[in-house]
Amino acid sequence: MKKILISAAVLMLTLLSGCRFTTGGAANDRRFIVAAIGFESDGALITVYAETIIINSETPENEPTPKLLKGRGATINEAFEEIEASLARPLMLEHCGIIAVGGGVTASWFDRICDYCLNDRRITLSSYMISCDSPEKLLSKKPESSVAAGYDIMGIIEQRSSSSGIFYDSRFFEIEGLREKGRSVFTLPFFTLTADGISLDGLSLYRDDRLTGRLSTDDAVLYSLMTGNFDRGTVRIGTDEYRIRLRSAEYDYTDSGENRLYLKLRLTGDSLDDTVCERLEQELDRLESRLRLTSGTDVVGFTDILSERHTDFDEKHGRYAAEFYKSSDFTVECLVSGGI
Amino acid sequence: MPTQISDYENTALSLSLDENMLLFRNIFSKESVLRFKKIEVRDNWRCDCAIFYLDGMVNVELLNESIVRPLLTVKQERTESRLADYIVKQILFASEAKVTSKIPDMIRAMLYGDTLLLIDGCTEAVTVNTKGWRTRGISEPDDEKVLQGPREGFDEAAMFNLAMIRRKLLTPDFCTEMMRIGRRSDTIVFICYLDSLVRKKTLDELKKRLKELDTDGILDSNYITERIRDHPFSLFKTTGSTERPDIVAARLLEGRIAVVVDGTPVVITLPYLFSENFQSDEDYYLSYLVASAGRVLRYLCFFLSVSIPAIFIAAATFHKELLPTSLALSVTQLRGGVPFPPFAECLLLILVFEILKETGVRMPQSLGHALSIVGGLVVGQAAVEARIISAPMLIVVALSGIAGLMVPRLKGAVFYLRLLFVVLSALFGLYGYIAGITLTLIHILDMRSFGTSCTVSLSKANFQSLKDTVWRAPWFAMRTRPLFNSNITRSREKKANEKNSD
Repeated sequence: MKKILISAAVLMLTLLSGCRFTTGGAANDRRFIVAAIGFESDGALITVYAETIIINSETPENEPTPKLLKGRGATINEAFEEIEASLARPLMLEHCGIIAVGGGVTASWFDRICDYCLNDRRITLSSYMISCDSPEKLLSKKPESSVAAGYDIMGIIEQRSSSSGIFYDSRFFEIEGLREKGRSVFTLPFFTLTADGISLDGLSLYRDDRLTGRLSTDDAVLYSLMTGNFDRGTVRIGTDEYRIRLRSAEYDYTDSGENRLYLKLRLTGDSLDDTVCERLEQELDRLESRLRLTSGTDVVGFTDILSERHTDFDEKHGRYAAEFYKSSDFTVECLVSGGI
Repeated sequence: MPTQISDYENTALSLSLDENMLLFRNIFSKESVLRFKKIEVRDNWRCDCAIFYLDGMVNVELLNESIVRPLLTVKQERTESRLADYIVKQILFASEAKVTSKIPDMIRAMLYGDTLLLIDGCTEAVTVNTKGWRTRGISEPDDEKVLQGPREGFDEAAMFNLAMIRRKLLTPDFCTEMMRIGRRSDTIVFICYLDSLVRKKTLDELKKRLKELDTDGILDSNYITERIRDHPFSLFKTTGSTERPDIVAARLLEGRIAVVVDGTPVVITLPYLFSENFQSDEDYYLSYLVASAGRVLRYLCFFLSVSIPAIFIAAATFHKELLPTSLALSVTQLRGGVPFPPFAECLLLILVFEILKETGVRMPQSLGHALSIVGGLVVGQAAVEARIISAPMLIVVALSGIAGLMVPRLKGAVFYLRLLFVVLSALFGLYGYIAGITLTLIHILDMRSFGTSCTVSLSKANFQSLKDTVWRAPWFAMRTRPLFNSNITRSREKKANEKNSD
């Protein structure tokens, strides 16, 4: 009797876990693998792109080929349905590696995209989110090193993350995690099409799900240093290049008398000295000033970081962090810690 | 006409030799190999005797020298009052001769190769040990071959098997108890143990189960195993079996019991622990490092063998994100054109693998190689090229099948578990597989063998209790016997104070 009860309990557990006979299990070859999805909007409607890998089951000896499918609708679901209406097999989104967000995507659509990707269990949370001007053009590009442009982009992100020192790993769960945590600022790697093919061309800055600016590759390095999302890489100051490693980034503030934000970076590098540090401080200060000027808001996310790390800041300025930022000065200090 | 030996319980010999001879001729009336001879002793005393034996069961030369010749050349004066005793003690040249008045004992002795000596005017008879049947001899068991270590294996004669065990345990502590099981086969069964180490409760339980066993005949130890084991419907064994005397001796030294059945080289050992399924016979003769590596590999192979097809089906059908993208693409491409879903494909391949395995086992060795080439290479490759099956599934099932061969003691369980998990995975995905694994684990943890939990070694997470489970500890570290034994006799070594006093 005990065994029957245990067996029944295990079976119930299985069924209650959402597993049914109708889970729709189908072999991979009965579906179209999607390598990347892209979103672009022009106001009321959204356009969804799915870079699909076509493998002909009757002639499997033929090489798989990518094909960009397009659907448009008032909702993301509607757009996907339009894509699937023209397909002989369902889409397999489990291997979708890229979620590309177009330049026209508004904050509202961005929020809905994130909700859709989170709720559709087929889309893996570890997909990379990227930014681009036109997902259609980007994902239509003929792949060079893999079977689909989406997987090429994945390769570029992984390779550049390790070589540049910038954490380009903007995986969907990380972005969603920041949003859920209340961080108003996040960045996505920005991809463009050049004559040579797909290229990673810096970062797109988002604040409150809205695209607020773009950073070149050099500025992306400086920006990453300021946000602490940097490991080791090359910093270009003028025509000089320095190989540095970020040991730590400390954030602090004062609000007695004048409001001031402090950033202290501990760096290591073979050719680092006080002069280089001074030049680096100037570059960082220049970038911060430019971002402050062009966006008018805290696109580096200093106040978010301070709220996380200093409870008293959150208590005193949490609700008025934007005002605090606007009225504050920025001071950066770079310290050298020795060999790389 | 009585048909069973016990039917003669109430029959007795008469004083007339002719009547007794007739009785035995009637008992063995349909036995064509019955031989008998009347001997007239006319020298020192006058008495007629008759010998009865079954041809082929006795050593005729021994019979002639130990019974016939002494009787025909009697010189001694009769000093014993009882004639039978006189013959046994003063005339026969046999090392083992018994006087008995019980007909069943006489019949049993004859059937077991002894010669029956009937004496005129005597209601008792003498049974003389003249066993001389042929045995297969000592050879290495095919299923338990070792690269290093003893190479001897049991044969079909229980007596010889007992001798082989006894040769390894030269102690009066080694006890054997004989039983006869089988109403018609009357098979001799020996229960062997070391008196000071055995757990009495287990011994009593075994005897009780053996006594309750009622059947026509016992031709192999499995006839007994299936009747006395715990969890008779389980896929896992709860009694051990071996054809090697060294293994039996080692088990006895751990306080276990061996059941030697006449007519089979397979000896039953109990209680049986689940971890024994992963032990190899030569684990104890090789370096503990090598043995431990092999043992870990066996556990891994068991897991792989039952799990790989199920996990692959779950990943390919339900949890597509589990496969790395490049593998998913490759699988998709290679599965192109295959008409069956992965589940059917997997079942088909498992079936083919089992067919090939079975035919390989039954085939003569010379044909086995050809079969593996035709079955494995030609059919496998042709089936992939014809797109009846896909290469990834072929690899998965072949890997699973080969891994299963690493654990021969669980071959039946591996086959059924593999099938069960595949079905569960095809229905419920990984949830089904995990449910299957959970239920299997619950069952394994619940299993008992003659009052001992089959996973008793895992009940205490310390080195001593795990020393002979997942790995094989060096001999100097194996100071205690397995946990199922009583605490008093657990230590394999002398107590410290006893050592000092030596």
